[in-house]
Amino acid sequence: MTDRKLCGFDLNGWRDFVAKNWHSVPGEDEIIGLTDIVPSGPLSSIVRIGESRHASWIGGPQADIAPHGRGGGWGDVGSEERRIPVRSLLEMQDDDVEKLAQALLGSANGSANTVVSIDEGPDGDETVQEHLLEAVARGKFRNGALVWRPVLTALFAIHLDQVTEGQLVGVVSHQRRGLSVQKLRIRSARNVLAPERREAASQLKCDAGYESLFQCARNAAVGTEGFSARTAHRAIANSVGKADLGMDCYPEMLRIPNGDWELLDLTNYDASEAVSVPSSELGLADCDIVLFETLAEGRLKERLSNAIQEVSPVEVHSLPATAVAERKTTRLSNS
Amino acid sequence: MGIGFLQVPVQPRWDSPQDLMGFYNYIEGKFRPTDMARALWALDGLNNDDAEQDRMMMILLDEMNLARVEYYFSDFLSRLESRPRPDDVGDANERKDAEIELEIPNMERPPRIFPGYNLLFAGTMNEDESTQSLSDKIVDRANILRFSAPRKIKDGQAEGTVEPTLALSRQTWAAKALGEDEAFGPEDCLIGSYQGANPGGYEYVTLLRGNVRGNDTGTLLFPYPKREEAVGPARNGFPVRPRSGQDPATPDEEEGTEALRHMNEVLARIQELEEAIEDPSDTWGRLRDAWKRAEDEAEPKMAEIVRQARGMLPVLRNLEKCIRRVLRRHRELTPLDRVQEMDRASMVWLSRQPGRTIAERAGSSQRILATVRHENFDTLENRVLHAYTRLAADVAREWTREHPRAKDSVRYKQVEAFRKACRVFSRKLSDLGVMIASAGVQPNYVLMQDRSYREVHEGWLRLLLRRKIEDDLWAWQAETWTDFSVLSIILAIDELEEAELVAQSPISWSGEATGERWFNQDRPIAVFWLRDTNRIVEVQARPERPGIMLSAAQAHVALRISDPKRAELPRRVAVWTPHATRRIDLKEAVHGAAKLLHQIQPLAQTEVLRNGLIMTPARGVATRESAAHGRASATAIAIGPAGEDLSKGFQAVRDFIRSELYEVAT
Repeated sequence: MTDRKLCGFDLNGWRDFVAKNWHSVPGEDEIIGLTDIVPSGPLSSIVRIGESRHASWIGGPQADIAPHGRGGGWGDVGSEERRIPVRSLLEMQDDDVEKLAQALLGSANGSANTVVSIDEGPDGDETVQEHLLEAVARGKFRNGALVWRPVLTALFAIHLDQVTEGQLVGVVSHQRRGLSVQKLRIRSARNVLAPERREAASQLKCDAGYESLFQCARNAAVGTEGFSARTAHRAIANSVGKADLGMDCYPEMLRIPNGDWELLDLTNYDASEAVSVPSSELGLADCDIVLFETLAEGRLKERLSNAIQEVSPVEVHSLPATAVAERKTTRLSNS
Repeated sequence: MGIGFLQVPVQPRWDSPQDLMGFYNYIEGKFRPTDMARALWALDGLNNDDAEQDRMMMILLDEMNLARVEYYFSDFLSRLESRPRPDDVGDANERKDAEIELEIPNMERPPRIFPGYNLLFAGTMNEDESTQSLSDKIVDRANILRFSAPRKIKDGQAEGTVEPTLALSRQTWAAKALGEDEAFGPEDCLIGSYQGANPGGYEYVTLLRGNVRGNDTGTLLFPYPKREEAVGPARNGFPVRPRSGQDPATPDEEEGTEALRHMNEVLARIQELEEAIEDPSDTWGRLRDAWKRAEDEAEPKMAEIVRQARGMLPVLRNLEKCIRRVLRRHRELTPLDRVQEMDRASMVWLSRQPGRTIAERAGSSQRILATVRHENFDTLENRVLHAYTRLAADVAREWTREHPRAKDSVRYKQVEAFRKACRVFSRKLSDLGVMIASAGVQPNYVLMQDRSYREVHEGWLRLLLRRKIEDDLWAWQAETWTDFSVLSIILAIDELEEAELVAQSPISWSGEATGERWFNQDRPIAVFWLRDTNRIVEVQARPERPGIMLSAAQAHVALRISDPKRAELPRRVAVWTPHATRRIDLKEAVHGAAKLLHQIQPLAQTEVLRNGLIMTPARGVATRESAAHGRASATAIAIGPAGEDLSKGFQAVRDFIRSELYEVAT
């Protein structure tokens, strides 16, 4: 057991997780050892607090519940420039690295070793990688490293003893524009199993991607009136993020532009209904084991998993949404 | 002005006090009081149980010098001068000389009227052939304003409607301004108010800015003095904190120690928020658990000195065995056979000694000036070490003094052992000639690179930082108290099963108190949705736009309870968080609050504000009081930051919140 603080970030902007191996109890000692997972999102963002020279950005779960940027009904703090989605930061629509650092700091700080996941494909190209590394440095996270999402997924499976040496692991990752497939060979060195990545993952665009799911959920929230100043508050409701990922959704009280209140109920919205997966193009025939990594839950996750199962030669292991973040701390503690 | 008014037309034939107060009619067998006597009786709360409480009245003697003022008013003047100090009017013995006894024959105890400080006397006079002049004894006892005849008289017409006037209470009148010789004392909340422009020349923070009927108003908080007294505004008689490292020696210092303990405990509850927000998904649950643990005073909470006691003791033990030393050169007269080294200065000295040989020059003592190396411990790193051991011992001593009920706990024993070790080490360093570093020294190579010394330096800086902010903490305790009260209210609401946090502004924690506060948070502080009752509850602290009712109530904390369906007007609950270094009289406070709320009801336009809550330090006695005045009501809760005061006080807060949210909703 290490006494160093380790943390792993799964910062994706759809549904973020940070796994850390320390836990503080107010008024008591800090405990290092057990893994603690701090979720934020869905549709996580950073918000600007304070005014003029005292203003600063803050991310993580505090930003989720903040009224900042949620419309005029909240007064001055509701102004839209006070909220920036983490997706915008990761897609470099806003390339201020300090803001990205705050997205990390909002969930954890003070770690001795830090790992951040990076997507396969254009969302994880070199520019994004450098940006993330600089944000890690700016946030004063020591010993930062980037690890491919599929690699972390495979490590999770190794930790659960689901794979053995020599196996070819097919990792299907749910991504912004669809799915990706990465095949990793499990190697062994000094009695430690590790996945070997030889090439980039193949990308499969489809309407099952997070972006498409988000658009559908947002349209459902806005309703038949369409997107306007009167319905904008619904478009940025927390329920939209939950609904698009198939998570349990409860009635949510929203503040409308004139300061009054409105109830948004997406309980009956089913994200899986609008999804189709061209699973025949996944190419999993040669895999010894297939892992499915997604941030989705419920019926949506089941539908996607079933679609992959149709073309998989073996049973598909659907991993929990926290798998990518969790594996980071284990990887660090074993290193 | 909101003051009661009685105009008394003076008659030329008045020549005795009976003309003012009335007379006994022997034929009817009754006392015939004048209007003025009736008015005085109606406002004499000390002798008349049915009197109007806390009201002001102005009595105008119109054309007062038509009769000789000395004849009909002299008795009154004498009584007014005989009045005891405002704080002593409650003592019947003290005020007996100032009371006017009505002349009613054969009555065992005729009524006595005390002309209190809620009465203002004014008179109009002309100077012509029909009027009497005033003697010096009248002039010396009054303020005289002279008005010359106007050169032009303009006709005017009233426009608009006259808005209902708020009654001015005696309490408000007394609080309007401190007299020249008056000062805030330890029983006072250091709160002031202004109308119009911000006052200059004082140190204060603005709790509330508002507007009442077109007038800008503000509620200010002044700091507690760092020593016993201060000026700007005048503050006297406050508890004195004992000097660092000293035990309290006088009753004032003991009171100061207790106030310091209370302050630190309140701060500890606030600082637990910093750790609670590390898991923002359950901030309030974690904070509530921490406060629950704080109810047990036998187990003291983690503090910086506790951490250092645990972590630094091995470091100090290690350093004790191998304190760094240097060899320092200096010149001294050395026996010839022991000389090893000479520098230029010692050779110059030798050359100036009489004699031809070295032995001759060494003189009868056979000593010459030479360079000698001695072990020296007085290095910068050891000075920092010495400063640290002394400071840590002082802080540990203060901590153990503040936690007398925790003597059996592991942490207490650790801190006590650490304190003793620091004292012993400090003495050892003194014996070795090590001086004490002052704060702000630039660390040298050893302090930066040697692990043990670096830890000592960092520990020292942390304790120094705490010392540095203690003055600010002391001065602005009332702000910390407000934050504690706000957190209590939020926790009480969050505990409700149906409460769902709809919005909460991010809490940005400062490493030290900035702007008198430890954390910054935009508004709104927290907004809850009660799912089953379908109500929105907003917790507002120091609102930017308080509205007319809150401004008039001078409450800088409030709850706003609204119906999303708009079937009811929004309701506000005013919350006051008065803080004084001594316990506040809850009954007096709650009655005053209820009256104030009743008085401001005419201002209600778009929301209802009829209920109020006072949260004040319990100082060992956690209680609750309530009062009502008309449809307005107020509750006062005395709550503490730890132990039974916290447990009982928080239960009272819980009960109040439930009563506000559920009794009205149903």
